[in-house]
Amino acid sequence: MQKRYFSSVIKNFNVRTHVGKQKHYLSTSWTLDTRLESLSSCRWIPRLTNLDSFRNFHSSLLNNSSQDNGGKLSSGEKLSSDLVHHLERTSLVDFDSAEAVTRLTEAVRFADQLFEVNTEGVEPLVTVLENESLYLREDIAEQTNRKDILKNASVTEEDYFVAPPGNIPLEPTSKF
Amino acid sequence: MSWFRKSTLVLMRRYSTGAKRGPWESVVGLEVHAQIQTNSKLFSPSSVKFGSPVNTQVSLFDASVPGTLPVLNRRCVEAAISTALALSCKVNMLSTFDRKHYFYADLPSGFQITQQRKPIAEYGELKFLVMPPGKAASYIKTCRIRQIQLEQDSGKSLHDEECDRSLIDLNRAGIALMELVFQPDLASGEEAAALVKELSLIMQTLGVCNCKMEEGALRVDANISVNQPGEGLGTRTEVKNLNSVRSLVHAIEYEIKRQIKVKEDGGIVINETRSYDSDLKTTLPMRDKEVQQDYRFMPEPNLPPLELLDDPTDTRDSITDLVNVAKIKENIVELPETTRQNLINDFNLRIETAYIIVATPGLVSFFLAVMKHIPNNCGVRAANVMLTEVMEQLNERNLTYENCPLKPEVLAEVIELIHKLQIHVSTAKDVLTLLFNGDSRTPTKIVQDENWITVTSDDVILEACERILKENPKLVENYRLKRKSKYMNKLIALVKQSVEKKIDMKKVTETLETMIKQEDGN
Repeated sequence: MQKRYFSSVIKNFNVRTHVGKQKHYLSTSWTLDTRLESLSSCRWIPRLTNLDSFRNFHSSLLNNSSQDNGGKLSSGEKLSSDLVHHLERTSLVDFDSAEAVTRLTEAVRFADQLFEVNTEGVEPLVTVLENESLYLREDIAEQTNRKDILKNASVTEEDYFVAPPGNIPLEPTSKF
Repeated sequence: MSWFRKSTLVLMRRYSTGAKRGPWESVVGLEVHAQIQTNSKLFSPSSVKFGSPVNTQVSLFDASVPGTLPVLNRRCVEAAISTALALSCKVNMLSTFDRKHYFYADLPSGFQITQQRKPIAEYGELKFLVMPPGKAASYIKTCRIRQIQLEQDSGKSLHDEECDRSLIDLNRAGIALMELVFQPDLASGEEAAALVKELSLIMQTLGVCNCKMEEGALRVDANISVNQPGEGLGTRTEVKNLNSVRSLVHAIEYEIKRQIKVKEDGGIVINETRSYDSDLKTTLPMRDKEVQQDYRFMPEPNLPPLELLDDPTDTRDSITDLVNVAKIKENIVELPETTRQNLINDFNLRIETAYIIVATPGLVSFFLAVMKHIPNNCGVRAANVMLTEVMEQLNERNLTYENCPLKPEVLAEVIELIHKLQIHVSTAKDVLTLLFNGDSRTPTKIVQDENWITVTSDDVILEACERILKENPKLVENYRLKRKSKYMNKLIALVKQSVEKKIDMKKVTETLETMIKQEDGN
């Protein structure tokens, strides 16, 4: 549920970025929880899934010393600018200032405490419903209504949704 | 086709003579996306008819309206299992779903639900016959399968460049796909094409995918690299947008040539995604995919693990939401490979013939229906007639074996006439033309009425041959001196003309040759 919340946050950012072409900043008014949540979606999955390729991709974005650390940040260590740019690009959140990056680093370090828990031989729990069998639906088609579907779209054209021409990449900046 | 042949020739020359560094090895791996034949989508009940009006088969879930949840379609699970069994995969009794994040307007939730950590099936293999064009011998190839996974299709974007915007149709969003990931065991475009053809045949036989590449029901991505023997694999490129077997072949052959050229010129092949342009017959880098994507895989929290049963005596599948693999295994239809082996064993057909028969829509059942009326040792003859003379008639009339107007027993009679040497194959062609044009007489009656029965009696043939040899001493002399077949053919034609009835041309040729030889001896 929390993760779902995060993805809808990103989505809103994206839509507004596209429409108004304005950038949104990770401001100090955000709660620590929100920031942790956003970071966790990037950082705990490699541990859960145990996928080497995935982990390597992430650690390649961290600087060398943290790579030896299994992706962890040691105290005093900083996030590489590559990783910061990468996070900005995928989240469409502009960190804007050195202060925000410091805050981000602190949040990462805070979340890193999770790595101190010994999970050796423990199967990761993905869902509390894992002992339930997945409900299966019979393959029966139902009518859908185009009017309902297009009702909430702000711009349509001949029954199509209208979207911006493609992904607008976030230009890398070096303000910090 | 000619373009391809030429390119292979160029390639082969390159391979054999090699540059300074010796011949290159090419490595090809495929990823195939097959739309599962269903009535409704993978996680929602909207219908999936191809070519429906824009945005008319979109449920709230497909449009990612908040609060909607995915509900898995049982039919998709069964289709994936039967495909996995047909490809000798290990079916996972527990599989899970993951989110793979993309940022495209035609994927409104911002992620695709797929199976990354634990797919529904793994480690299979596909065997197929590669028939290279030209004279090269055909061979059996095996390609390993890494995994089969269930996943959602995306919607479609139309790019309106004039107005600088995209138009989004979500009809395709959420349609069930089966992704089959193959190991890089292939070496050429021809092998890739043969694999896709065999896979299509299997999936069509199982009824899990119609495999219409032109409708996007089957889409192939190819990973291609070249390397020197003994060295590790080269950097690969991925070619997307391959929507026909022909473009698959062309794209792979082009990409192999391009990479060899880059490396021989001292360049470096970049790991990138390229698209194939079927007009230019070249591959081009896709600007959209320049940056390495971070898919941010995460477990799909809205779907608990998918559990399966594998015990024919277990009845829980009828009362709960469990699919029983053992029961699917029991009900699996005869696969193309079994059909081919039966054809080869029962009728002594060549493996290539068996492949063509099984790959031709409707032909297997028609062939078997014909063979019910005639002895098994006519099988080779029957197959040849059906693949050439009958096929010609069907093609002329834009028909297939699925709607062949000729009754199997009638064709069986024609084949029997040929087999008993009562008519020649060329006569059979005329008989078939009459039958296809609606002649209601039986084949035997036709050949009797038209006086088409081949004369096999030695007397008639001997007499005619002797007469022609006597009448044309010049031709005989020429043939004797120059041994050119054109003189012999002329003699044969004269014999044919002199006899009003159809005669056994093979016998005529033999008789003429022995007669001339005898005279030589004298």
